[in-house]
Amino acid sequence: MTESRRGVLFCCAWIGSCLLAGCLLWFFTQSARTNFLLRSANRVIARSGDSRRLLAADGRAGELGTWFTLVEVPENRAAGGRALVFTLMDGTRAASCAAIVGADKKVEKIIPLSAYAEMVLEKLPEPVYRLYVERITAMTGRKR
Amino acid sequence: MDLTLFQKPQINLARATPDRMWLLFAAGLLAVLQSSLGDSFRSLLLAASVLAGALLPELLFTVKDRSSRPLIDGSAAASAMTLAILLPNRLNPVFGFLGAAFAMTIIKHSFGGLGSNWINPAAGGWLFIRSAWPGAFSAGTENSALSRLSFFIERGLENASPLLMMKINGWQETARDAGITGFLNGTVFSFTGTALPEGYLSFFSAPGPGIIADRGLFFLLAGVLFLAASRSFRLRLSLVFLLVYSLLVRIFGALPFGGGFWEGDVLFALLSGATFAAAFILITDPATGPKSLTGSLIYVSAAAFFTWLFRFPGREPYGAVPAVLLGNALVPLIRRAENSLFYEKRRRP
Repeated sequence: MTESRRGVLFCCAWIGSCLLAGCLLWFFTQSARTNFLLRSANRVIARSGDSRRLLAADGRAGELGTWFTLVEVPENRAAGGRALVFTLMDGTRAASCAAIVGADKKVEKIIPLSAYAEMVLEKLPEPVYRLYVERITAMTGRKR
Repeated sequence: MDLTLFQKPQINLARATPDRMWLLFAAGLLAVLQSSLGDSFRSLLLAASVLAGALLPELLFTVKDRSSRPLIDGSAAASAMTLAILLPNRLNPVFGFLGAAFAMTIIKHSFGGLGSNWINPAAGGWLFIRSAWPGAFSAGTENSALSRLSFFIERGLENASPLLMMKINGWQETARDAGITGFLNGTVFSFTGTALPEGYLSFFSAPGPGIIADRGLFFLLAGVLFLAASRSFRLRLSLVFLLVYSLLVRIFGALPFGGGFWEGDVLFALLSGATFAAAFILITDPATGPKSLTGSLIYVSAAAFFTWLFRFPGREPYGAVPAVLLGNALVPLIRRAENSLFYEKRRRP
């Protein structure tokens, strides 16, 4: 095997290794990341005084975010609604939020999941807020 | 005076490559046969299909090379059997054939053939099937004890040991489990004051759907013990892998099931999810690992960490296989470091 061919192969292996390592880490830690997101969201929901908690991921909501099932604590019985954890975009600012959707498939409230998200949500123009509410409401009607 | 070593570092094993390959093939075949006895020979059909998928490209690639002896060196057969035991017994054999063809064509021969592949061909073929046909792979493991366990954990069923959760969700112990466990508790374990809970011995001949390495664990272990006894691989790497993995499982393994620290179920982690296949077959492949002892220990420790990460926080039942692949992906980095540290331009007094 010539030196140049060996070099090309070595470069291919390097690039392939980097891609493979990134893809494997991303794909096989999906559950861990979802779990981390769930715990963070539940901490904020508990602080807001809500008696409901996110239980488990319940599918993707298109490109917007991830649906979670809701339970009432401490009984752990089904709360009848769902929550959508998503990223709210306002111009160049992005904020992580959780939208609580009731059993009647209407958005009850949108909870900011960080101090920065709270600041973004406070300054969010009403039409943009309404746009997100309408978009989430429309998604609740879609079949998963 | 500077001395440059031109000879590449070698790994010295007691047996020649063809001997090792055929022994590995035999160990895998034993697991396939054990699995076949309980599934109307579907496992055997799948293994035959994988073998055909590996041998055909191997012959095509080496037909002009008179110096190579593809069927005699046994490397393609060994890779095929390793891939076969990592696949679900109910997988459509066509996917097995395609996965093996990918492993031989892209992973092995596009990088120069035997000994030049940068990742393990069997593990690469597994990842190819898992990624290209995720539905077929999931259908193959549907209703297996491990996939049901992941399903229930994702839906918030916690506060139990994994074995107990598997029993609640329909895990069937084998008929001989209770008798042998009782015998062991009355004899061997009575001296240590411990008792083995019922259910663990069923992992050695898991009756339900699952990957062949899990279904044929008893004969797979018998095969790799023979391989180890004949010094066909570096056993200490397997032991370090199992030790690091067991330690991580013991400390953090109960957290996904609602338990606390130091409550992890090590036996469950070792006896399921192709852990032994990864520890004794994949991780010990000399072609895809570092050469020095230090580099190898770093490599197996990293693979053990990723196995725990994918299997427990990541909830991938067969996380050991992608973990070894991720370890393979780090090998160029480790080799570069060990080359500069150990093998290049050693100054002599």
